[in-house]
Amino acid sequence: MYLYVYDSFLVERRFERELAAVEARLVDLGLSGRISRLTAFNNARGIIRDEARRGLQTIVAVGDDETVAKVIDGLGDTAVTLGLIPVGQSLSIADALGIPAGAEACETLSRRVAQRVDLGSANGHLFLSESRLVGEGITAETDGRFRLTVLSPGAEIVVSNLRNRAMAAGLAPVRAGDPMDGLLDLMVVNRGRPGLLGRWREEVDVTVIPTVRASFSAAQPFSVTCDGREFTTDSLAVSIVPDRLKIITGKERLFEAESGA
Amino acid sequence: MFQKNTMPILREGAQEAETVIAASVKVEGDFASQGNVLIEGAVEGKLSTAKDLRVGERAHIAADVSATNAVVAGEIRGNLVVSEKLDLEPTARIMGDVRAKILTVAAGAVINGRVAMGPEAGEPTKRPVQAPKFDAPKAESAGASNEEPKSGVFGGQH
Repeated sequence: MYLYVYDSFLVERRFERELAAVEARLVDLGLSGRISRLTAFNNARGIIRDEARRGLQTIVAVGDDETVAKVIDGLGDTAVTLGLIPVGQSLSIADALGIPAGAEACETLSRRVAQRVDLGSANGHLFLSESRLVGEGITAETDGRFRLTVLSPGAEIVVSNLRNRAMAAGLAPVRAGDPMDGLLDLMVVNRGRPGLLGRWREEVDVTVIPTVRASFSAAQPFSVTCDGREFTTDSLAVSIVPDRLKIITGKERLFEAESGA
Repeated sequence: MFQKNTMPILREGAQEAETVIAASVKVEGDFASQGNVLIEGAVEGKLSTAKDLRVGERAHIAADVSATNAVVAGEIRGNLVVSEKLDLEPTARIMGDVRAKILTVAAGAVINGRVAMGPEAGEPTKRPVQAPKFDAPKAESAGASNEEPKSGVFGGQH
């Protein structure tokens, strides 16, 4: 039984044609199911909880990266398989999972090749791809064993579980990351600082430390963005939730799949 | 107007490293890894890996270090134990004892400490091999003794 969760921005007219094509293709493939729409008056957690009582097995997030984030954060303890129909602008998670945008994603959904992947938890918020921290003077402690201090003021801290294609290419030859290894990658990306005439130094360095858990703190509150969902805090606890989610993936995914998953 | 450049500096060995500590961070504490490690930044405390270690030219390590194989081009203030091969490049500076099964030292590398090499030297539980003292008693052997021959074939009366 499929539940299609449509994000609220899909009511805009510019998505009408694309959604019509998606829905027609789903019917052709025999993948029709119930549709729920996210609005200002409901949330994914409530929808999923109610549907789980009715024997829900597969949730399909229809929308962009933020839609995926809302659905994953709403999973709670529910054991379902997640699919994606990418529609919109920010589609980096779908890209990393090898799922094409629009009606072509229906073919991926019908093949139902699923992998069991890790999720990250940031102050209790589940995320699939990454948590990005922005702020001054943030220090990190990992696995309770060592402390990491960022020396460059312009550096960005990213806790990565699943890297998208652009990020993986930009960080090469550092390893691509694996959402099935039971580890999060604590990354510090230093893109240099503006020089004369606003030109950035071409030098970029990247720190990558695989870890099971990490905590972050700073004297001032800092911004955290979990797969597109932003909140502010002065302390953050991040940990891996291994093998938490079964997710349907495409052939062009960025990580090696386990056979028989 | 600015140029976006998302390509990082290509460091030799980075593509095989699971852990990379770049120049823009400092790590303090007990750092242990199961995979290859590349250090370009600062590390204080203790550093160990079950696999290979590369210490870049700009790295500053104030820690005891252990690895299976290591290539060092930066500074280490602490003891260094490598169970297999250790390569010290011309810019390497080691302020501590070095133990390795196989050691190569390029011209210009600096070691200020004791050095032990050989199959047992790289074992982390073994003590450094002690150099023999000049006044150690000579080993006894069949033709080496200066004592008077005992009675028998050589000393006996005919």
